[in-house]
Amino acid sequence: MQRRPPGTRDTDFAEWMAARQPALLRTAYLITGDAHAAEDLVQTALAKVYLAWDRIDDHGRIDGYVRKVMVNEHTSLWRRAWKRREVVSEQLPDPGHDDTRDDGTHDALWRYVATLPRKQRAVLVLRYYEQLTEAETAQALDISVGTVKSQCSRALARLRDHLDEHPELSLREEDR
Amino acid sequence: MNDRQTEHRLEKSLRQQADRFDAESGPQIGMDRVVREVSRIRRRRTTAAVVAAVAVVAVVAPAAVLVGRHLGGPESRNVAPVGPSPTVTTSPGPKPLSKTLSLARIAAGPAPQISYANGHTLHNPDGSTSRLPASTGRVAEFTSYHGGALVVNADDDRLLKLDGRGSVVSSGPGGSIALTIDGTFLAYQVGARIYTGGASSMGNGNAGPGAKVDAPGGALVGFLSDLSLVYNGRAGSVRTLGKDAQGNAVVGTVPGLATADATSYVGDLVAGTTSLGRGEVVSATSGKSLWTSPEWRPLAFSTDGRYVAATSSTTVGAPQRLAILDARTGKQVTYLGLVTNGLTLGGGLAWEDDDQLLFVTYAQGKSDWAILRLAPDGTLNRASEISSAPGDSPPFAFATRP
Repeated sequence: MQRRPPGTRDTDFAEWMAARQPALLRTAYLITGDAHAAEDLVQTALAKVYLAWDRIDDHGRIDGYVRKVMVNEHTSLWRRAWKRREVVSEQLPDPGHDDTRDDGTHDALWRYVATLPRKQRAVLVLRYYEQLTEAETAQALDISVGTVKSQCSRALARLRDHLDEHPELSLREEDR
Repeated sequence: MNDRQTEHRLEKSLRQQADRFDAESGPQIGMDRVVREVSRIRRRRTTAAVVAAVAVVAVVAPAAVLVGRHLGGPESRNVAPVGPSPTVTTSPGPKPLSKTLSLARIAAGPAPQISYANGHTLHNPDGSTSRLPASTGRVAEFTSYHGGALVVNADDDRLLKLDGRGSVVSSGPGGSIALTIDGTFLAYQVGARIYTGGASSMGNGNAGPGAKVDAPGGALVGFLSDLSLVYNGRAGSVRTLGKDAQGNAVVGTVPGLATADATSYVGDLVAGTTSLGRGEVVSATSGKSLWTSPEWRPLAFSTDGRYVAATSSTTVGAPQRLAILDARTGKQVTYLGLVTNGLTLGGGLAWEDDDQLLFVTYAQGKSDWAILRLAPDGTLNRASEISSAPGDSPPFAFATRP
């Protein structure tokens, strides 16, 4: 890929940022479970991309780079370790507004996802929201494909048990 | 329900939650915010490089001296100095370190004088050890309780209650523990309930129905001298839970702080951060701020309340520095450059006594973990053996401290 002409750096970056930011915020929100934390995370990821912008030759790979920055920042040891206050909650971290289209099963499932360890939650978000392959997920998280498989399998098994214990949360006819 | 149906339900739930976020999210992050963040990252990098030069000498030189003292004899002369030569300290410009601080070359000091866990092995100050059952998972925190133990699991934050034989009696989400300074009284949290009671009396440890509070998981911070309990409530509030003359639960508020991280029994101080992200120490009795700083986040008071351990403020990533501050003025007593020395805090910080700070750290890229000890005079030594574990799984955890 050709280098960009000097002077277009900020314009290029701003265009890319405007186009990708909503999607990045959504992913960050699913990873963190909190709107403010998602903004912080995306802001830091954007800043790191900005700093690396001139060194990134293949802009098709930027999304992967940002995803990696976000997940690594969020699962970093320190953020997670000190008191671990933000991780576990009996209630939704950020309940949002009422959605009249939802019958409550969605909230219950999201609450379940919010109780998962950070890395496991990130695996689920990348696999089932971002629709990445197992290999892409493994690359984004710096883990092996086997670990992605086992994390998904474990989380799905727990979710299935949870749904079996609460049949009211199971699929309605229109979801099948 | 089969696998595909479960996956489908999960996909749908994630999409719906993302849609909700879209509906309620505020204005987008503009270039101004990105540029500010870029400046902050650049500043941190520059500062870190400068700090590295000073910190390595401040920290490593005493370590090298201790190595010499410890080994004694001619062998000690063969110990190569750690870190760059002293000329680095006079270097006026930023100069990144070329190598990280090796945990093995930090002088070995005495074992921790508080209990700690290495994996499932509990080490006591008297040198004795005991084992936790593997069913407790990775340990984040623990304390003895009614002949058994309370353990917080590091991966899912559940609190497990163990009996004297190590069997799990009960468990629940959102575990956190607080202990009084004499170790006789404790509180623990399961979900939104806080239970208080004697820590070591006989019996099965049933602490009654508990008080229901509006608090997230991991909310307990510590006790004050009147045995009122400080905890983090929802929506950026710091609460106290005490009792009135009739024994009824009374909830109060610690003004100024959005979250609290530590309490000091001596002087009834509460350390935490404000809604603007500034570190602050507040007097719980007067409600007045003793000091506030954008630079430090105070995390743990020394036993006598004289010092407070703090990390450099950071919203993202591991902190750059660890410091011992004067608890009442916020004045820096000593500090250790972390990232610049290739060290990362593993989360655990605990005061061993009035002036010895223990912390869990790992050497970046080496999967080596150890407990280090920092004193107010800047000396550093290693308080534990080196243990290998992945960078996201600290093997060490401290017993709950007051």
